[in-house]
Amino acid sequence: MKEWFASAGVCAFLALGPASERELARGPVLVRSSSAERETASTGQSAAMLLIPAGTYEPFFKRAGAPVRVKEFLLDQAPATRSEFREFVEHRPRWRRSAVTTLFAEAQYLADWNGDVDPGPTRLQAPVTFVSWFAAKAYCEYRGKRLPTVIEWERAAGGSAAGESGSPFQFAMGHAAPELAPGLAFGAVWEWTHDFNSVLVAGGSDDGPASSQFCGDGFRARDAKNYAGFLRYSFRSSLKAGYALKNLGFRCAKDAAS
Amino acid sequence: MKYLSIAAGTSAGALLLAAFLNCSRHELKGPDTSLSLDPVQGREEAQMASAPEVPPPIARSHATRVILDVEVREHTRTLADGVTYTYWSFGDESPGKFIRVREGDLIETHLHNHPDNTLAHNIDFHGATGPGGGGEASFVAPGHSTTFTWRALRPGLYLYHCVAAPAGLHIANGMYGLILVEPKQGLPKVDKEYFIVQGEFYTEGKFGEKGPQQFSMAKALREEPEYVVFNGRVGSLMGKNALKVNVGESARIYLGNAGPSLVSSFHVVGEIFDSVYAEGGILPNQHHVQTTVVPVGGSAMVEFTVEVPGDYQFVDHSMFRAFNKGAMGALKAEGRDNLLIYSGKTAEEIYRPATRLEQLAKTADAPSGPLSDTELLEKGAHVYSTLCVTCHQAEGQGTPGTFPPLAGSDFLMADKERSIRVLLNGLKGEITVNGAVYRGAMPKFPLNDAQIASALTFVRNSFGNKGEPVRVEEVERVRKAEDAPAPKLAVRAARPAPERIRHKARK
Repeated sequence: MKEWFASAGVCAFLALGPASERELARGPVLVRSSSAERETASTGQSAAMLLIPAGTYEPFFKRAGAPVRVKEFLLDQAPATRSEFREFVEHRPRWRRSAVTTLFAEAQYLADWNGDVDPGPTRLQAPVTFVSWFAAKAYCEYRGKRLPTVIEWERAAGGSAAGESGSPFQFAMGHAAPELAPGLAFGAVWEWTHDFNSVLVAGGSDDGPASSQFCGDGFRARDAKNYAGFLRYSFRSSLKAGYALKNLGFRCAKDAAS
Repeated sequence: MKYLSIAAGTSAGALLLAAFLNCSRHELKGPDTSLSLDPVQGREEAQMASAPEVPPPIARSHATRVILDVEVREHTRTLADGVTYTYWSFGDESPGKFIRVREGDLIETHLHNHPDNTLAHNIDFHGATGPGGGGEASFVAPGHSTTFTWRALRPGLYLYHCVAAPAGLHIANGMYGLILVEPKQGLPKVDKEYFIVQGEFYTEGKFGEKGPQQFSMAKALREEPEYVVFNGRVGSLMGKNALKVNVGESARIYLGNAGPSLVSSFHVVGEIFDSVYAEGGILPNQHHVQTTVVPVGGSAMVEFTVEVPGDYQFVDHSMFRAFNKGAMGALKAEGRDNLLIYSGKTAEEIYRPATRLEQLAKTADAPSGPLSDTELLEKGAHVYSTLCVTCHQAEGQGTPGTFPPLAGSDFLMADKERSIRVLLNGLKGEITVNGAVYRGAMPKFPLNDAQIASALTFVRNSFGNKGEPVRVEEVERVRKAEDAPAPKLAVRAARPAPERIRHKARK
């Protein structure tokens, strides 16, 4: 754990190249905070990724066509850190606290940072939180990656969550099945997923409706005893893409073929 | 029906019946289903109070916009001595505050999910009419607030709770409280008001196991909580936290049961509820109630007046919950004794019922003259029924192989003098009765000659036996011949004279 965090941290201090006009052009609704502020191309090093083998996944909510086939994919071993995110905002000024539009990140975006590119002296290796879905998505793209889908994330992290033993909170933020990809770390924070809310996803949800706040869900769930799953789906359905919360971070994924 | 037809048969009965029907018509007046909404005038902060206190009655005579702010917390709190648990609560403590509004009020509800929280939450007011009671409208992520308004259409006492999935878990972790929608005309005035919400906790550790406790999914699914408590924790209403009333004051307790599993049977030990508003409706529908049911997800109101000072415990009368899971609280009543109603303990003395031998002593009185046959039989029956019956049985049939029979016994009837010796000295060794061999032993009993003569006369003339009576003189003669000592007769235990009734001053 420590090693790869450390190497990512070093990257943040590297001198970086000139701004990418192409990158800027991709965000027409973004407001550039300052003409002097120049974005730079990513030379950053990607966090360690693990291969999640292809397999099937039983969706949390009952639906036709289950179980779902999940292709193999790569997943970051752990959530993106504050240190890694600092590198991102250094290279992508539009995602700095003072620059980001409220459409893409609410007021408390990076609220626990000291400044635009200053997460403070401590907790550099802790998962970055107070980040919106838009910012998380941009970060992953900056790294040449993408956010995992709900199904990918659940396949990697929801494996051991069901059943009657233990407390659901031990599993709610993710619990990797050890045989799937040894070394995956979950449980410190909630994590954004690409299609956390079906409203955002063209072509429908991967895993049922967004709302998960009522008793009726017990009837829709494949396993009504999977309380960790309920907590997770309930939490996801309370989110909007601009939200930036204290206990919500993210990690990136990548198609295995790429 | 029977009662009614009989009553109708007499003129007095007819009057009674008329009164009864009148009363019924009044009591069974239908519910208010109108939708005439009062104009909302002005706005004010919601009246709230932390357990077990209740805010004062609403003084307003118009509907208003009530601004209600409720913050959701996830934090560690004490469940019992040395036992902690991560509560989820509306406000700083579980249960949440008691909210008091007036029928017709518009409740502008702001639910704030604290930024440190990890979960999405919401609030479902059982007093609100609309999908989810506000559940969907108030569903909110950590670090966010939601607002919705609802109209307090129907007066009553209502539970509120979190209904975010999985709802049982949110309730089991402490997310509930009570809201009173006071009827426009108010509730009858009382001197003291308190509220109590019963709730359950499903911990991995057993009841009382020290340290931080985790939620147990398995126990929750079995509906077997380790803790069943009043107002959020063991002892919240005990000792210095006991509810306080004065003798002669009227009191009302607003009861809620959040469950999430167990129906409560609320009972105050030593008090009778003058009125119960069953299930939290606004009609006092019963008088003189010992125990009232509070359904899970429901409420009740009880009113009573304490007549006698002292400490009263209240429980969920499912007693193992009270004794072993925490469902107990205390009410302290102060004031003057009323000895016409309750004396308190006035005496305590040794209680020792007479032993069998002491009972026998009743038959030991020395005869003033020769006993008649009838006297012999009467006295003998008494001796037999207090002493002999244990082994020889009620019908003299004995117990096969162990205690020989007296009914139709050749051994008994063959030899009067031998029978006298057996009663004087006891009997050991092998005997044959009606062809069956017995190897038991019969002890020697401290019987006087009259008792022995009576007992023998009785058994020789009972159970189908027919024989000569045994006279006291015959027993005397055998005793002398045997040189057996006269028994030391038991005397009745001396009872202490009852103490004078003491009217101890109560503390």
